This record gives sequence, C-alpha cells and structure tokens, in this order.
Amino acid sequence: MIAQRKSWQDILPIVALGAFGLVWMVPLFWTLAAAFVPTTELLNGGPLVWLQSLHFGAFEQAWSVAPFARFYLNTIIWVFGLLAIQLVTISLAGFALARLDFRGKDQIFFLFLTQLMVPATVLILPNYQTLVTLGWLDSYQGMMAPYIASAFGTFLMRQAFKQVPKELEEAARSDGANWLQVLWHVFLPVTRAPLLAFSIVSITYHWNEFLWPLLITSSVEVRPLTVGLALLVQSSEIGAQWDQLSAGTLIVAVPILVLIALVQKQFTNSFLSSGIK
Amino acid sequence: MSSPRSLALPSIVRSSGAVAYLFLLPSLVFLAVFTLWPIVSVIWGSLHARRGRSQIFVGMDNFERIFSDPFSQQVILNTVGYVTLSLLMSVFGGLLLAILMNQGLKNIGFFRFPFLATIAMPMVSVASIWLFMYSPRVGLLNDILGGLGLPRSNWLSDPDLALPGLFVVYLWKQLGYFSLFYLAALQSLPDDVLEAATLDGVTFWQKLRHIIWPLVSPTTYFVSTIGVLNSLQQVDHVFVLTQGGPNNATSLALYYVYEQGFKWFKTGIASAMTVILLAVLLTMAILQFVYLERRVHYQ
Repeated sequence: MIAQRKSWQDILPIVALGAFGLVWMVPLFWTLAAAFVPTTELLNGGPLVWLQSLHFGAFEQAWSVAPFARFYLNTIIWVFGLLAIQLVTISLAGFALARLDFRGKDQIFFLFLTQLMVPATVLILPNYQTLVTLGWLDSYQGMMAPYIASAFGTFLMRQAFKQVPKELEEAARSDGANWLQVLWHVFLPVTRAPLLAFSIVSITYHWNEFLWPLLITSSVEVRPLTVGLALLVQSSEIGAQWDQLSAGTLIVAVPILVLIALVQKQFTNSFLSSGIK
Repeated sequence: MSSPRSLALPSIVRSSGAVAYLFLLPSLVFLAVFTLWPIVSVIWGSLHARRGRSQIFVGMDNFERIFSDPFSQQVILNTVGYVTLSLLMSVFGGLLLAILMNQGLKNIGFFRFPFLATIAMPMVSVASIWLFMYSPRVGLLNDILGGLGLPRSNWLSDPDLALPGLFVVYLWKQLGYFSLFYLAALQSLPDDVLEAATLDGVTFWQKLRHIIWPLVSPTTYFVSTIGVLNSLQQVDHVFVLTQGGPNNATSLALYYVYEQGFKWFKTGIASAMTVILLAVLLTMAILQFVYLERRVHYQ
C-alpha cells in the first residue's frame, strides 16, 4: 500500500512536468512547422499533409532576402572578439583585487560594484553620445566598448583566485617569476571552470543582444544577427511570408539552442553564478 | 619555472602596488568612460534642454514634464504594471516550477530542457515566434482559444491585451531562469526536512506555506531583486511586436528613452527618464545591501 502510494507520488510530478514542458514547447514546434511547411498547407492541412509538403525553400528565401551569412560573421566577430578581450581584463583585474596589496583597493572595488548596480542597457543614451565623440559608431569596437570592463567577470575571477593556495604562489615567486607569469602559469590553469562559466554567460548574453547594436550600427558589414532578424520582421507585411520569418527566427536561435543542449549542466551552473545577466 | 620573454614586466613595475594598478588599468579606463562618465553626463543632461543648437539649464523642468504629461504618465504606469507582474511571476511561478522540477527523478535534464531553451534564445527570436502565435490569421493562440470556446482576440492591436500579451512573451522566455535559483535552493535543503513533512500527512499547501517558503526566503529576496532588474531592462519585444502601440499601451520606460532620445532627439527628457531608472536601480541596490548586512549580523 505504502509502496504504491510512493510510486504514485514519484510519477505524478514527472508526468505533470513532462506535460507542462510539452505545452511550453508548442510555440517552438509551431515555428518549426511554419518554417518547413508552406503557409497555406499549414493552415488547411493536418500533420499528415504537412509531412507530405515539407520543404526547405523558406530557408533559402530567408537566406537570400537578408544577408544572414554576413550577419552570422558579424555576430561571431563581435561576440567572440569581446569575449577574448574580457577574459584578459577580468583575469588581470580579478587577480589584482584578489592577491595584490595596493592603496585605494576599497575605492576601486566600489567602482566595480557601481557597474553591477547600473547595467549598460540603461545607459544607452550617454554611451551613444560617447561613441559619437570617439568616432566609434557603426563599428565592432563600439558594440564591445560598454562591456569590456566586466564587474561580474572580475568578481567571479577574484573569488576563484582567492581560493588558490598561497604556497603555489610563493613557490613561483621564489623561483623569480613576476606577477604576470604567476597569473599565467599558476592561477589561470587552475581556474578554468570560472573562466568557462563566464564565457558561457558572456556568449549567450551578447549573442542575443539587440538594442545597443541596433542603435549604433547602420551598415550590413557590422550589424549582428538579432538586428538583421528584427529588420526582416519589420520589413515584411503582416500576414505575408510566415514561412520565411519562421526560417529566419530559427536561423538566429538554433546555434544557441544546440549550444545549451550540449552543455546543459554547465549552462545551468553558469547562469546560477551570474545572477544579473 | 620557465620565464618566457613575452611575460616579462618592465623592471619599473616590480612592486606589487604598481603591478596592481597596471593590471587594473584596462578595466578602470572602460569603467570610467562607459559606466561612471555616462552617469554624470546623463544627470547633467536631465537638467538641461536643447534650444536650437545649445543646451540651456532648465532645473527640474524635464522631470516635471515627465510626471505631468499624460503620455509619459502612461509609460510609467505601464512600466510599474509590467514590473509588478514580473515580480509576482519570478517569485511564485519560479518557485512552483522549481518544486515541480525538484520532484522524483534525480537526472531530469530532458524535462528541464524546454525551460532552459527559452532562456538562451534571443528575445528578438522569441518575440518573432510570438508575433506568429498572436497573428490574427495564422496564429495558433486564437485557434486554441476558439477550440476551448473562449473568445478570439486581436492580441497586439487591442490596447487592453497588448501589454499582457508582451508579458506572456517575457514569461515564456524567463520563467525557467527564475526557477533555476529556486531549484538550486531546494536542492541545498536537507532531504529529511522535506520528507518528514510528507510523512506527517500535511497537505502540499501547508508544506509550501510553512516549510518551503520560510526556508527559501533568501532566494526569494534575491529572485525579487533580479526579477525587477531584469524586467526594467526589457525592450526588445516592444520593438518587434508593438513599437509602443496601440495607443501607447505597451511603451515601457526604456522604450520611452529610446523614442525620446533617438527618434525625437529630446535628449533632456530621455536623460531625465534614464535618471529616474537609475534612482530605482540605486534604491534596489541599497535595499539589497541592507538586507545582506542584516543577514550577516544574524548568522
């Protein structure tokens, strides 16, 4: 009797969660169907008709209407270029805050804290004016600039570096290594996990970013995928070319979906550590 | 320890203090230019207005306009409503989904995937998926409602439904995100606490109210904070789905900043709204700080 009740209690939430998950995925399934089935068949036929009329035409059209290949390249350059720069800035700053003694440490710590409180999204107006002054509009460095210093990454690395045993550092120092060598040879090899966690958050966040790139870019050579998709959506008449729009949506979203399917556990942990992002 | 030349520092920066400033320099430069300076500049901007080619000092005029103009009053109301709904969703929706995720099977990655997938997708993609769902002609939502015998609506063109419509999009995308924090909190609770409650024959509601809710209260505080922060910054779906319409019903604070600043070049008004947003963010940061201090003292 008790065993039976126990098994019911085990199964019921799983069924509920599974059903909930299926319902949650309906918009995604619908988009998938819309991208592979011509709109008229989608509206009039059932799943059997859909299967018979599968086609990839919408992807070819979307790919030719908007320069998605170029948008892909732009997104990859700005997202991974930014990540490379951030990994340098957060390692250096995190190391200084964790392991070095210097005057004004508390004040500098507070400056980083300010960035955690004030996300760059809110500062689009003054930052746009700064880019105008610097002549960085419509450029990769303009898109990257507000994110090059990362308080989140710096604090993450500071925490990680604090946990490295003092003996490792002292052994390297007594061998005559300078601080940059200590950071490179001793600290970075043992802090790969937080570096990876930061990378996942940074890639996801900036791959998906829209408003800032929309405001500061104006040419096809710089515009990222998200801006390209939004322009495609806005340029099409309501009710027209749903298959094309769905295909465009999938073109933008699928790489990120594949990435998180592959590293689901790591992704979960990274986002838990991020909080704000 | 090998010492490759590429990592050699100039002899002048041998002291750890000098090295520290050198290491911090790249971050500090960008913090100064893209976080600190903009705060100063936007406060200055909020106290000025453009007259022809020059900026003149107008005191609190821009703020008075925002609080007295029906259009911007509507924006503030929209934002407060949206943020309040988000707060409730992130706390109650997030906790309930996490409880569901925490039941039974240990390894239920497969069941979690739907809720993680939407977090990782760009809001622009999510919004265009929902543009499709809401579409009066081909949208699935009206078919479902019709099938259930509920009235069909033209979601995004109805001033009463457009803002809730945007909220549903946000809910779909972010619910899983907030439940992650509760899931982590639930998994860190000792097993016997939850099991003891099950054996004594208490109802699910009693268990939730008297055992789980108090135990996860630090997470609730954290989730509320990031829930508000997160929802205040939502703007991408407004661009894709409604552009603030119909009738200004879906304009949120950040979208208003964009419209005033970048479409109509009223930088004074846009700066003032930015300052209002900054004030809200600062208040939240102080509340969080006070809360953390108090917790540290009690522990």
